[in-house]
Amino acid sequence: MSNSLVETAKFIQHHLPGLDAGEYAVEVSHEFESDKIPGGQDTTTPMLYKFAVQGPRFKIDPTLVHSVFPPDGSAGEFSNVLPHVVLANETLPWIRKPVRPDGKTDVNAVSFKAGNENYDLDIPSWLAVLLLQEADFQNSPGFKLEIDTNTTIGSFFGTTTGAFISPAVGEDVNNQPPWINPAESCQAIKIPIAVFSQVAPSLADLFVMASVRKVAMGSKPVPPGADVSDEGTYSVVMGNRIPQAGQRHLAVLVSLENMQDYLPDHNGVPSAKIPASVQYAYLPVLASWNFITTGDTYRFDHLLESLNGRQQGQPLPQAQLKMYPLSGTSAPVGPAADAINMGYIPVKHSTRNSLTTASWYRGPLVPNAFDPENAPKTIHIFKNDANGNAVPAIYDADALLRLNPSTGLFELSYAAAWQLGRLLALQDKNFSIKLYQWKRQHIGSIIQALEQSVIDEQFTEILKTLENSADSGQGTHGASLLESAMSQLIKQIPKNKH
Amino acid sequence: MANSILKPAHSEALSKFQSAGSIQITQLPTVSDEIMDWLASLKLMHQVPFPYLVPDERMLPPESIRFFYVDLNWLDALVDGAYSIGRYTSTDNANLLYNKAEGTAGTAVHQAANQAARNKRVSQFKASTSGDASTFEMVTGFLLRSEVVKAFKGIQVNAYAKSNYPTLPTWDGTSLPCLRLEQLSDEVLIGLFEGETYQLDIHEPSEGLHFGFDTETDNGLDQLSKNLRDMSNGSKLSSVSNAELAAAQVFRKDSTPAQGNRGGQVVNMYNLSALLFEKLTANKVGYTQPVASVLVNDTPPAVPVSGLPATGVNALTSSDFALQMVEGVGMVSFFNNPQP
Repeated sequence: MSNSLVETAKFIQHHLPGLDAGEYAVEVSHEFESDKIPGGQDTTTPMLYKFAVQGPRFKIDPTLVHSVFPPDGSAGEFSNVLPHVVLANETLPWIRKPVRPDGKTDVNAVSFKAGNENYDLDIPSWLAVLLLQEADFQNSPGFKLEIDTNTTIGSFFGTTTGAFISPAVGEDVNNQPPWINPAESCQAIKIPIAVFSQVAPSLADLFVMASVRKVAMGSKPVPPGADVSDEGTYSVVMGNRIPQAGQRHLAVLVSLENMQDYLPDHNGVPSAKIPASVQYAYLPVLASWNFITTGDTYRFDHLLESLNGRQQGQPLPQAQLKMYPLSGTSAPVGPAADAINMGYIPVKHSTRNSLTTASWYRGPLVPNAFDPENAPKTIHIFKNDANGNAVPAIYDADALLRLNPSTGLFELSYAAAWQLGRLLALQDKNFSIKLYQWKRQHIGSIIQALEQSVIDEQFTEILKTLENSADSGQGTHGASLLESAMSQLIKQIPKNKH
Repeated sequence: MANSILKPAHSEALSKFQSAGSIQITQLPTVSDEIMDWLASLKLMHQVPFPYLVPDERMLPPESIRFFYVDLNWLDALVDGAYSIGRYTSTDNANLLYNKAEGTAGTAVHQAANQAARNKRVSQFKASTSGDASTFEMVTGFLLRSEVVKAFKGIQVNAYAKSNYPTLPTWDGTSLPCLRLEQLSDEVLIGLFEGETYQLDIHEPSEGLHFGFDTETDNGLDQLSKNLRDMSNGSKLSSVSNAELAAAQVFRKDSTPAQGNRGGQVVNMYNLSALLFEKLTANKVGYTQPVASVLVNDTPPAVPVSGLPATGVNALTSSDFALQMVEGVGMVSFFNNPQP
């Protein structure tokens, strides 16, 4: 785990998939050559095997979106920020290409060496973050700044001379691989073609807009039970537009697959290859989020620095976990104040004899130091019996009720904890059955081992007695002596009452 | 006559039995991983409902951070309650053996639960586990309830003891072992550490560090500029001014104008990358690696690719560009100074 101010994050050009998503065929044939074969050689019929590398095309699993910036639904001043999306899959931006499938691509990875470092040529991403704002759509009647959440994959297919351009124009909807279901629902956005040319990245831009980030995971939150690795690998796709102040913004992660001919040049000049019939770009939306540019700078450190109602330049107020006097009320005084300062709160308590009273409760998270040296353990869950054996001390939760002499109120914390533990154990049937079986089995075997050691010890005594008896010639008496000895022994050993 | 032979020996055995001084339980039964894992989770309060941890919402209002010490008595009571299922309620002499067995095994289970709790998080990372089964002496932690938890997924947290907290310039310190760090809900994060937390550092997630420009003031106007970063150590180099950005056509001309900016909102990313490359190599600081242009290729494309700059234009690689465009790492330190 990193302890340094400079947190480790590695920036990597890209993480290319072994095979791009698509359909593949492998042809296999054998050829034998031998003198023994009439004619000298034999060739088998070639076998053709087809397989496909599937990859998301029109929609992605929402869990792949790790985080976005500016955060979804946030309001702040973002006037020098380029929006981005972090994806939990490190190859996603490169499994498809923005270049035309029929064109010879010059975008395959070529390694080169510079000094001692190996570099790849950059690969353009098929994913792009487009930032749209309300003003963009003002001059385009019939278009709205919103996502069509109720469309189907089939709607992206169309002719190259239709009303729209999309990653799937020119493709035959009826000639798709079986895992593309045209009736499947997905999300899309219609962007007027003039706006598209203004805000879309050029093909050259797409080379530098996606990269991989490898980060240390050691000091991050992890969900219980999840297996995590020391390093997490993410792909990051950045946008190419700075938000404008005072606007509602919609950021969309879209597919620009196959769309090289329709992308603007670096100055936003529309591509000459867009047919005159095209009115809008119809793009699959893989993720989207909203934010508003208004008010104060929205920054990670600013948010944290203003926690607990802290004013700039002041120490952090009210940092301990306890009840603070509410604003406008005076702080409690007397014994109750002491209890509250120690993290207690009064709760309703239904007692064993069906009375209702108020008692103190405090959870496991307390505001003051637990000092094992100066404040010895106040409860013992095991105690020593008269013979020095560790035995359980608590048989029911009421054993842990305490009376606070200064207030005359009960203190429930440990009783509540013990009862909660018992209920949680019983609630989890799998655990409680396993624990009970283990206790039966192992406590039984401990008892057995104890009994065995006593019997062994005593049997030696009896045998000695028998030997003495046999030596004195009282053979028949010896047999009945053994019987009597065993019955005595068995009777007196405490019974194991399972 | 038989009785008179046996009686003294037997009573002697029973007394040994009761003192158990001569009878040692040398081998404790092994507890299945499943039971141990459950109890370890319980020790870290995974199963404890949130209202038991924070019994009143006003103790953790919106946009707040709270520090705490863990009451280890409370945890002992909790774990004993769970372990108590099937415990006899009688304490009479007939159950002497049973009580001893329950007590011995129970002590062992509590100890093993300590060790398992210590290792629970590190084993999730498949890191080497500790053999330390000693009782916890001090567990502390924090609760954070804030929009930050939701907006910056994967924030990084390090806790330090007073004896070993990081200071500038190196910021080296040994962080306390983290027992649990988990997002409990959209906006609530809990952290537990073994040892007394004095300083708590909360970092912006490295994977989510955002991209953007810097600002410079020119003629009383805030304008976008870009500070260059030394590629070898990350330190700040000179700044590329707004005028230089504009001259390199970094902002598209025909897009909507950006506030306080000579040009539009839409960034010509490749031009920007090429400009930063030029500035970095001209600086001759920190950027000595030759970089290929995107069009370095043996065979020119058969079909011309539109929108690409002319052959030979150098730009930063996508990773170096991302590193240059990242805006500063956010980190906030909190200090836990208990009131006297």
